[in-house]
Amino acid sequence: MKKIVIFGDSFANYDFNKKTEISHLTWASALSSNLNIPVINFGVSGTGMNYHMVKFLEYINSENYDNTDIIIWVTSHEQRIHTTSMPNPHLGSFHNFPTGKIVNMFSDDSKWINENGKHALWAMENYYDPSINYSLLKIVSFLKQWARSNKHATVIVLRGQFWLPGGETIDTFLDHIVEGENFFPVLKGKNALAAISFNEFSDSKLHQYMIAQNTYLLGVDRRVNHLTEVNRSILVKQLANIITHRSTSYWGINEYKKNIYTTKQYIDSISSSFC
Amino acid sequence: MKKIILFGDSFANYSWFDKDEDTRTSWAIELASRLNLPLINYGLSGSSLIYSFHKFWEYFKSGQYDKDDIIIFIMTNPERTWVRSMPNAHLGVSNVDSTNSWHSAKDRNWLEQNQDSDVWTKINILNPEINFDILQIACCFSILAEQYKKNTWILLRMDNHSAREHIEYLNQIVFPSDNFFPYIDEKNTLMQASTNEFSTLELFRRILGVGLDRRINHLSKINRDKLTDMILDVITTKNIQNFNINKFAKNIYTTAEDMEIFNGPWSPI
Repeated sequence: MKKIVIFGDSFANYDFNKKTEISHLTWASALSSNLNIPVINFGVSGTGMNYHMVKFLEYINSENYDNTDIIIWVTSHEQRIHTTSMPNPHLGSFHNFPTGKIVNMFSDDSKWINENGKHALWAMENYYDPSINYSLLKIVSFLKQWARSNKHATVIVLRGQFWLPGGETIDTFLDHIVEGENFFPVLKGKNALAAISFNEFSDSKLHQYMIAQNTYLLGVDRRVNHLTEVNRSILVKQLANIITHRSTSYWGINEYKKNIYTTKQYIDSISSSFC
Repeated sequence: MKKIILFGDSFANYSWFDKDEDTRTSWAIELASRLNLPLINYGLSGSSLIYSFHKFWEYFKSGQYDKDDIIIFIMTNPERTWVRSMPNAHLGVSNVDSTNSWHSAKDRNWLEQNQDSDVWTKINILNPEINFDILQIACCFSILAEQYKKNTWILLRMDNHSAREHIEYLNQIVFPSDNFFPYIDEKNTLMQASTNEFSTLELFRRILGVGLDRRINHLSKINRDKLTDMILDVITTKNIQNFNINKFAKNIYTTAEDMEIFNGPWSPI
């Protein structure tokens, strides 16, 4: 049966808060309702792109795979790591976990970080140095070739994160990865979902304020998929159009709402529930 | 100007310890001579797949690139690392012995400071189970070959020790074309041609025990010539079938006497 199958990090699936069921609020669920097609979401918050590759290869070799599936792949931060020794793949962004919170949030992660964190940080900074990091180019090359060989499938690649400082040159090489009959890449850094998320704040200080609030008080961005509902709805509309009309011309970064959050008081006011 | 451009490790450029004179008898020099084309060899002994890929992009976006160039990319062991702080890219080779006398003071200093984390990276991040570099880089070259049709693109594979579980995907999604010749299945590796020169693995391991392999590009002259012939055939006939591991000479070294050639003062074979 044809399905929407999603790979990526928290921009794809919002599973930070295990205590609260919020999957029905994600753009993935809304897209599934919009198109009346079931969805399988393999996204896991905090994960790196090699984890998504592992899950993708597992999926296309499973009984669940259908050759007419709609694959939506949200690329993640290029310095996130993935190893088979990790107790949880969200440790791909281990460096973002404040030490004091780890024990409370993920009880089996602190041991891995204590034993591996120093080396993992070295790998992140050195092996995944943005000026020699081709992770994004490599993975979208694979997806384009896979789409060419699986012509009944539809493959959409969304850029999750901005380019990293130092990675600007390599980022331009993505221009070689162009749209195909069933392959729809949205790869420019300016089109990243992180850009939409960031632009919801009227200035960068407010964004930093929210991150500080999330990290030390709440533990998680209250915006599901790091986007406010109005922008998730726009994302769903654009994805539905890309799928229906077979063209990335239906992507438009300027349609997304900016400056939703303009004061600290407003940010505080939404801190008690997901939005 | 049309050129041959080569990327890879010691199978591409045998430049260990500044013994650049050894490269005069490399298969790449012979290929350039027979095609009467200039050669730029970006290969570096011991270097990693990502190092080669990075050098490719540096070249491809530079004034050196020509739309008629013949680009040959040897995909080495994907478990090798490369980071910018390495004084020499050959430090990314697997199982580096930091005490080895051939390391420079800079090399030893880097190893002292970084080797634990470098080894951790090799074992954990570049683990063949979750290492897709050969698959993904082959896909990237396939895409470029389609966009740059006047170039000739040849992919060769160094060994089959790593990432072998992903071969089935390579065969499913990376196909040859009129200008793209990927020899990346696990049975057509240059390392296999190299080890097949010995009648037993035990004999092959003996040369590893004495240090530097005296065979330029890890192939004896007869097989360097065969490699040159095969690549020449691929370029001139555009026939993917013209490269085959079975065309290399096997069992050149079968006895202890045959192995004498690897002893005594350094002399390239």
